[in-house]
Amino acid sequence: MFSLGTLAVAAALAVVGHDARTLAPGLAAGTPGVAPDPVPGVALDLAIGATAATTAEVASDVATGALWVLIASHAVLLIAGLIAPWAGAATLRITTGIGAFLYLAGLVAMVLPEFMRGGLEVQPSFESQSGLADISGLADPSGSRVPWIMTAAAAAIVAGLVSQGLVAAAVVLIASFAATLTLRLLAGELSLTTIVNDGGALMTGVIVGVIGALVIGLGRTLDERARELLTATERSSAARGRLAARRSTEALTHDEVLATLAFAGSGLPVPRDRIATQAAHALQLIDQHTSGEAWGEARAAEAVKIVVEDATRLAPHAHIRSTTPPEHARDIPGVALAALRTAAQQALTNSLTHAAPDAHREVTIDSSPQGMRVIVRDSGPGFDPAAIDERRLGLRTSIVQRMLAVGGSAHVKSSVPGGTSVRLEWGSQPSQPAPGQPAAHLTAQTDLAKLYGFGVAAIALTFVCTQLAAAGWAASITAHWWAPLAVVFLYFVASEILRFSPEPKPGPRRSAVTLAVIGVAVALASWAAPFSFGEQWFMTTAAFVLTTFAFRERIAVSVIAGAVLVAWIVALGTLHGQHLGQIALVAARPVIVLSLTAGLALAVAALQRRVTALNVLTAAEHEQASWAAASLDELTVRGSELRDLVRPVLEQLADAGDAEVSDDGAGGDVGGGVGGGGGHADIGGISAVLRSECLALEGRLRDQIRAGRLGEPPLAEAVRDARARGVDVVLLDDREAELPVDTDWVSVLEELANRVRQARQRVHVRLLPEGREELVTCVVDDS
Amino acid sequence: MQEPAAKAPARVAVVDDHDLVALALQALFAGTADLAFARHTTTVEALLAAPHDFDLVLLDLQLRDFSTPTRNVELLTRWRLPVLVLTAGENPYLVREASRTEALGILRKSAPSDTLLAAIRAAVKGEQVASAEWASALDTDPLLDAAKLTPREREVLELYASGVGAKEVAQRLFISEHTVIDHLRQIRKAYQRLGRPAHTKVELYQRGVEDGYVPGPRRD
Repeated sequence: MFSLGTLAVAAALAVVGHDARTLAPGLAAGTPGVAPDPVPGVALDLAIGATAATTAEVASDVATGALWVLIASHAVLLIAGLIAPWAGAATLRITTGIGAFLYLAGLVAMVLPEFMRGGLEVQPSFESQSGLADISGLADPSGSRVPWIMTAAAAAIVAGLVSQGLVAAAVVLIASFAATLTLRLLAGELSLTTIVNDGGALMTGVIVGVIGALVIGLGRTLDERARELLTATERSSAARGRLAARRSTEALTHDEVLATLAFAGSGLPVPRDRIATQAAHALQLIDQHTSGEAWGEARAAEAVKIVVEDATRLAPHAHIRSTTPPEHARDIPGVALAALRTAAQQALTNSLTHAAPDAHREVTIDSSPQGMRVIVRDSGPGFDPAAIDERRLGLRTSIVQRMLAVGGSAHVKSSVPGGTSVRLEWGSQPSQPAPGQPAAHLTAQTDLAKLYGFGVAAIALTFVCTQLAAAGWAASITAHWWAPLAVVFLYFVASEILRFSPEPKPGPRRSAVTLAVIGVAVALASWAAPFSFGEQWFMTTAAFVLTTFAFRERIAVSVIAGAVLVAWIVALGTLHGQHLGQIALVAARPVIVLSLTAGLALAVAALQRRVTALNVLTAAEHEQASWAAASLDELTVRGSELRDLVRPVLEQLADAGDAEVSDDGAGGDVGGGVGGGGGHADIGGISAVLRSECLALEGRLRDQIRAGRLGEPPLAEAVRDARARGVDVVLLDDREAELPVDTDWVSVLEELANRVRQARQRVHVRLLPEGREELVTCVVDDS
Repeated sequence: MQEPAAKAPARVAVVDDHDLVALALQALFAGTADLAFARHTTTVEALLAAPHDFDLVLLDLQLRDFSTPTRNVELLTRWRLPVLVLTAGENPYLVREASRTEALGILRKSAPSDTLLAAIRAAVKGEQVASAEWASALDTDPLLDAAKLTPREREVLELYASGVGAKEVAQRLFISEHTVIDHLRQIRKAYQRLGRPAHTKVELYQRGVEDGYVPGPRRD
């Protein structure tokens, strides 16, 4: 008979489970960026209030001391519910612990005196003033006042759960049951009715406890996962930031070095000391690049100011809004800021080009503890993103790509005609994997499996014990003694059919068979037994079996079957000429049990979905972090290779010591300096040998970017030799796709190498895009 | 000896991050009679702020002030200044972006000096400069289909992208060099039309693609 309280608690749990924050939102307090949610606390308070009120109504005649203790325990739990959103985990645990403890004390205070006295005065048949107690099931058909204990237990069970977990909840439950049983024995009123009633209450208590524990556990897991995700995201964005930094400095260094080598080798009469300065500068960049310096960070406020300035310069007529960064706003790495700036400028330039210059244009710049965000919006004609076919693209550095490379994101929304909005973000939000990166794998949700297994076992055990006791007792007093046993057996069969389902979610055929078996059992029992509360024990049992469907994701089945069952009860009762109150008594528990489990199962499912989603995101972040780390390693290796390759030549260039600026070098055979190979004289103090080394190196660096597959061995050596001879060699790999399957690439390269060896002035080799008639073209000298 | 009045040399300005480039070009022009070095700045804005005493601008494709080629060329062409783009690294995307602007051509800095000079001289006259880099970037642009080139034009483009010079292209296709140059001009116009504001839905979708809103497949 703890139906109303149970229902209220169940409602609370369901509400709570629906939201990400759980029964104990205080447990999540302290997670950055998570706002405390008062809803669960309020729901819990409603539950506690309901039980307290009804308890008070019924128990007004009990020993005052015990009652006051019990009221005190309720009061404490109410407070716990109120402070839940803001209290820390420890506080909440302590408060609920006190409440549960007081409850237990109250129980003892109630039972002990009776125990000592050696017997209860049996109260006359209890008739509630309002009849409410009747319907709510609070009134015990046997007229005892004992049952309301289990009502009060609902809140205490949940309190035990929150405080110490499933064990404490079990303690409260068992204590309540023991107290009830003791009092019943002392009053000498043990009967089928009381067994069915108390057994049912115990069952419901166990189910609430288990599911409650599951909900709380899942909620905690959710919080943990959210924190993990945050950490993983931070790590991965840091890794990607480093990678981006590396990439950008590599690009700069490349550029710098290429320029130096190109002009040093060109034979143009540039003053030697200028070349030396340039070479020294390039060397410095290389060292910085390899050592990882110069990847500084910008303070949030500075970053915001810079972007605002960029925007104002570019689009003076746009509405530019920025918010002052809060105190703990995140610093942004130099490269991320650079990427953000370029992407923002690109977006703004696009907007200026495609929307009319006087279209409504808005730029919003924000900085927060999570990171930085820039939104560029306009009311221009817009475009249709859905019409874009990704396969047709060979763009290398798009706005999105640029942001992804530094660990940020870019979201573009546009409609025709609706205008365009570009949102650029960098920070610790989980980001999408960049194209080309491995996709995340779904991780199985195996948390709480043990708890679930244990819970299911506990429920099963309680079920078997209580229902066997009820059936046994019924068999001893019923005319058709075999009927209850047969019914129990049928229920057992039904449960086993469900249990042996190969998948967690039983198939339609299996479900149908199970339902049929249950139906047969109910029909048999209905025929065999009179319509009294105790004798209708099997209705509740049927309800418990149906809850299995809810546990196994067939919530609709359990609810519908339950409705059918209730309808059957009503019909049966009416047939037997029972009055509404009696029918309600029988129907009450099945209704409560089924709605409770359905609601909680939904809550659990919702929570599990969220946990899985977080798992996926976290896995994605971990993958990204390792991808970034791997790319970083690769780049580092390339960086050192570059340095080793380029250093000697640059050092020679930088060393202007023995250079003699010869007069006839300047203004001499400039026009004839065809790639520096034509003249063999020292020009500008750079020997012909050094010049040709410079050109060879420059070509090789260019190849690193553009040669692709053409940079492979048989050809590479020939190219190197040709460049040493002063030939201008250009290698272009313009083919994005794989080579055709039957290509003998080595032979192709060898043939090309031959031609290169014969070249005297220039060679241009090009690997054509797919779909062309030829695979490779090779133009030597002018033929 | 009486010489016909020499035409004043064309003045060339350079926008580039590196001093060395400017110096080298200065040295390059020193050996010519028809080209003179005007000035060097590291940003387009700085160049425009100075007196406009030059006839051609050599613009580095990738400047470090976070400016885009499109914007830079646009700023310059607004003042009716012819622009020739120079690149060290040949990033195809950027080259394509530059190809869609009003710039007269794109050259690599490490091209042989005579190639550079010929290109600059052509650009001073306002002629388009077609280079292998430019052609290659266009040829690999999947959007080129939308530019609706004739098969002959595509042939010319492909040959150019392979490094064949105008004369040889003419020989191979049995047409005159003049025709080849015409084709190149057509190609350029058609491609630049891709850079104009869109009026239809198809063009709008191209816009989205070009503007870099969708990441493409990467080879690295």
